[in-house]
Amino acid sequence: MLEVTNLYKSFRNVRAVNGLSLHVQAGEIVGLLGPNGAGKTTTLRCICGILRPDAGQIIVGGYDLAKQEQQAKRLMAFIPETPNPYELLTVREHIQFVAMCYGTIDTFRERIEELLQRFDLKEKEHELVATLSKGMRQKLAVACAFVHNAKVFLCDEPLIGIDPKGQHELKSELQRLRDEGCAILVSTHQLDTAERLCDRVIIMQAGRKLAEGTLAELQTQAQMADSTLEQVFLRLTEEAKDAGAVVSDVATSGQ
Amino acid sequence: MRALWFLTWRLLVNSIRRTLRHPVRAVVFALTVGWFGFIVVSNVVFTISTRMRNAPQFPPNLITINMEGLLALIMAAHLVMLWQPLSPSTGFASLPLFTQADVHFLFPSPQKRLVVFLFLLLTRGVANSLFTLFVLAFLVLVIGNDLIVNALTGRQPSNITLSWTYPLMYLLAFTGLLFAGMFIALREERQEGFRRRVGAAFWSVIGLLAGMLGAQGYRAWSAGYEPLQEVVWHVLHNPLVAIPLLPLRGLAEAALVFYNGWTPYVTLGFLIWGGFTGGTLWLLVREEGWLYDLAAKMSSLTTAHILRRQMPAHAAYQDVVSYTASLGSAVPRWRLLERWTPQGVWALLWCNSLLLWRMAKGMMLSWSLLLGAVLTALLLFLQRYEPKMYPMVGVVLMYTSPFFSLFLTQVLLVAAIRRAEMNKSLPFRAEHIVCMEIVPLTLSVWLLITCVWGVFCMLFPQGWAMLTAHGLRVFSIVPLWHAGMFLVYLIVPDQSDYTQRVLLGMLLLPVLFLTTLPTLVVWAMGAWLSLPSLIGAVITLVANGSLAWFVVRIAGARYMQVILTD
Repeated sequence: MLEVTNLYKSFRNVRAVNGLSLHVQAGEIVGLLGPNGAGKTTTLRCICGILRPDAGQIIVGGYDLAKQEQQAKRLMAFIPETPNPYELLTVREHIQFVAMCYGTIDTFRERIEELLQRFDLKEKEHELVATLSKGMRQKLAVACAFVHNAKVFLCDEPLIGIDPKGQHELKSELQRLRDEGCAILVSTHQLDTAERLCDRVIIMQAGRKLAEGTLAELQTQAQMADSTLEQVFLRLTEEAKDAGAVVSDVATSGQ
Repeated sequence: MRALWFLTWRLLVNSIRRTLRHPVRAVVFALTVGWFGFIVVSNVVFTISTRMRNAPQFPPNLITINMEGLLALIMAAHLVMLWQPLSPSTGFASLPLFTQADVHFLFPSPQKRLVVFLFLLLTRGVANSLFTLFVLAFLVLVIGNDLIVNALTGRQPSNITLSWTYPLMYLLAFTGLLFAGMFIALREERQEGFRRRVGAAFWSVIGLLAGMLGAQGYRAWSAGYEPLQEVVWHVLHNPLVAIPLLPLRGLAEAALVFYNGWTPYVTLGFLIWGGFTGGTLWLLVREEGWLYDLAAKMSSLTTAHILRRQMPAHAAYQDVVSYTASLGSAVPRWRLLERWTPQGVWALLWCNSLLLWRMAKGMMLSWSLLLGAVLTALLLFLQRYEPKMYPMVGVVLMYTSPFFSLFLTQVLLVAAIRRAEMNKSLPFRAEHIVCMEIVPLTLSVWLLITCVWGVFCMLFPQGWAMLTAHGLRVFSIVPLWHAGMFLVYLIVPDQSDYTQRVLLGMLLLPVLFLTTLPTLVVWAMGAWLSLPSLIGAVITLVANGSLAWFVVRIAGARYMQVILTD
């Protein structure tokens, strides 16, 4: 469903993403892990079309993002880290605007009530976004991602700022989407969540892919059987830092 | 496009609603609009009723001489007015062209990249230029009596039907320069140093022209001719200078189309600016794929602004740190101030003075240098032509220098409002906190006035009494101005909101007028009663001091309620 090949992205003299390749299949949740500055957010922003890669190919549902941008974007939904919605729109207007952007205004009236109820936004429906708390803004961003029938979900730290009930609901929602056949790429620092939620994880460091695979595969690579994802993550990133080189992809070496 | 129009419309409507929902802002808005309406209508009615039969007739020679000077002046004014679109990252810092909301919700959507980018650029960027045109239209209605009379009587050709010419050319120039500014920013992202090279080329041309004009002016001055007239002649008729300045000439001729009619320069202006806008648009279209990258980068520059709204106190201090870090030098220190360790509310004065010094040192120094240059030029001029005018010029400078420093004050007041959230929790009375915000600004302006007063007292000791009397008057106006402005900022604290920003612009003028009024009244009464100048000054001092304290108390009450997102 989502295929990224040899992605490169630099900002002036800083290479944020350095030859990254990854794929997410339909009905799969993939975690994108890495220390701060590893290039996770830049990767997600390149995939959702906010940033243009210097090189590489991004294929979404069979559409090449560089050549068939509109078709590819129609299949994606992006949940940003610390979303900054339009403060001078009301909650309802904000969701309506996103529906208009994706050309789904015809089904908007049917979906809006359900979305407002599902994300506890009903009471705030006619209030300006400026008056919402950080957690409510996050919920609004999530609700906006569900306005159109996306097949690929790109989530950049989606659980930050949401209360435990909201976190639980969002995780259930992501699992439901996976069961419905959507492809989900989640960038997160919460390793215990990634361990429970993701089918597979990709560990990034300095713009490169450090390791990729299921927890069992990563444990094998780190030679840490029965360890948690956190322990494996720390070992792999520390080793890579010490060696100054990137360890080869577990999945690739296993093949 | 429907989504983009919906967004723009709802943002505008909600912004106006939010502003007017607040009772204080609604009343102030009504009063301000009423005030402006009264000025315009009364002026037009007065002009029509009293002067229709006596339209002024200027001698042809006077018109020619004034017109050339006016053309040169308007060309110079445009050099200052049109810098903003060329530097879109900093020029639109308060009302950003692109926001994080665009990046998070609009850019990932399947809307066409070029359409979204140009739509946001034109609606938000060009909206800024409309404000300038609104101010100019107001000025024409207020002071353009002759224009109205001529249009109504038809005694002199006024070309009122060509009134669309200047706004159209100004919009064209603004748009073209905005496109150029975006293109420069785009190239800078991928080719570091591009902006510096373009800037160097631009300033070299300007420097060369200024040098040539300066040399001509000096030659005329040495030969005993009027230097300014010589410079104006070269600006308009010397091909070496006039050709590079043709775009500005086009704008100036368009601005004076009421008097001069449609000249070839107007046609040329449209051709130049039209071609420039088309060319820069073509350059942007060629870079279509990178437009969101630039917009995302520019929006991240305003993230600090959003942060300020969420954590204003923290951000106010962070501003200082990041500003100094951007200079690449150590934090400027003022050791004398650092040795002073006051207690209680005076600690706020210490803190605010230190912040003012660190945030505005550069601006204050450049302003002082500019004032110094004007002062020197004036003194040289007077020494040659009118030495007896020294004290009068000193008085004028003492009044005008604090007035122009109000531009700097505006920037600093925005920072002061952002500190409110933190300061409100301090165990001090609100009016004391407001005082401590105003005092450092006032002291810095007082220092400026003292310098001007000192220079002119040395040059013309006999006029010290007059200079001192006026100096005292200006001293007393400054805190009143600052208190009035601070109150306005407390009424419309959110400068990222279009409506509040426009309201602020509209409010500042009447507030400055009202805070200057007591000084004018006391001065007029003093003249009527033939009071000695120094006594009049002392009365002004007392009146303005009391009023300033009164305004501070009102501001204090408002200070405790201010919420930036309200």
